[in-house]
Amino acid sequence: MERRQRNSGKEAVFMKQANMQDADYQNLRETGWRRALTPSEEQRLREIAAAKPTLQKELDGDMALNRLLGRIPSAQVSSNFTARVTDAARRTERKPAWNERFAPFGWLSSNWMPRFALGLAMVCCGVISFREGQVAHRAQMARELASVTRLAALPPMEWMKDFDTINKLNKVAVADDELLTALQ
Amino acid sequence: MATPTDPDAALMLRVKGGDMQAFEALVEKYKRPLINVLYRMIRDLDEAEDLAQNVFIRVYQSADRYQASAKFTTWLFTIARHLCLNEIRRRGRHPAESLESSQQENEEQPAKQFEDTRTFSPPQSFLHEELERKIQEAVGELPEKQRLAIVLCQQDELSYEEIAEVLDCSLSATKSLIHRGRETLKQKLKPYLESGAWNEDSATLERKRCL
Repeated sequence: MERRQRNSGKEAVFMKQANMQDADYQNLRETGWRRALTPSEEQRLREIAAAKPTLQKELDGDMALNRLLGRIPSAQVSSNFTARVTDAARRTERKPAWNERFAPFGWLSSNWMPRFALGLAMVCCGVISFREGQVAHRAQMARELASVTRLAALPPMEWMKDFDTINKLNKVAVADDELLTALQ
Repeated sequence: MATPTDPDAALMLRVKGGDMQAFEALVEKYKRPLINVLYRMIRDLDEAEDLAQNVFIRVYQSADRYQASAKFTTWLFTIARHLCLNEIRRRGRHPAESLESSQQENEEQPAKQFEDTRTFSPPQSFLHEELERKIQEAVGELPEKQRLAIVLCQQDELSYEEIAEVLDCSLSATKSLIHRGRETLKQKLKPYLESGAWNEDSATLERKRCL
């Protein structure tokens, strides 16, 4: 039991060392992609790779590619390039910054006080608008409730059942002017 | 305002104030790395120079919006990336038009003429020239993003984090792009990698294969 624990402890240390070496290898390899490694860095990389044949092959390929990429010649820049660029820059107009372009609002970016005041004013406006909206909504509800109450105050439906007959009786017949004239 | 520790940022703040000498110093410092990146992306030196000029003009025009918190090189190469990808797309649509001709149409004032006294050094040997051409071809055939990642990786000015910022990717995505690009290059340049270095035999073999 004790031996097993000791072995597992050794394994953990070994795994940790292996992980550290892997991380070290990867870091140095990535550094080599960007620039030529120093002799000590290269030696360290080769030491780590020597332990694993697959890493060795990968490293050789990497080193050879680094050498090839290092052979790409630098572009030969025209001797008048800087003069051309500065001349072109002198002839172009600079785009003004945001606060210059919107000059009336320039004060906004210069100090925190106006920004804070503007923010506060906007929050106040928002709160007032919300409250006004709520009041208007309540008034509307009250109006609707009043109309329902008015409907409830109407006479009962039984009173209305002879409404048509009474309505007809009440109607005054229109005088027949032609008959009246004949009778006269 | 705090004084920026990055000397380029300090120069840029001077450009913001209208100092033309500071702008000239920035152009002088970054013209070579910038043109190198652009040249490796579009593989045409004249176009690369025109594009680099546009990048610097854009820097000058936008100086007022520059924030000293951002590293100058990251900002510069981000502008370069946008212009370069636009140019590659424009070329895809109108392959015959050159960047300079489309630029000059818009200009009212004619540009001053400056004499170019650059001398082209002859290639060390035919074999070296051919190898360099092969490498450039292999890099040029990579997908745009992988190519840009590989090319930026070759620049001493930028760390992986900064390359990631320029490419607008995460750090792991950037490293993955570089890794994939390098694996493709290894496959394409296998005959030259296996020999360990360029030699006569591999060149003759390659030439025989072409014939």
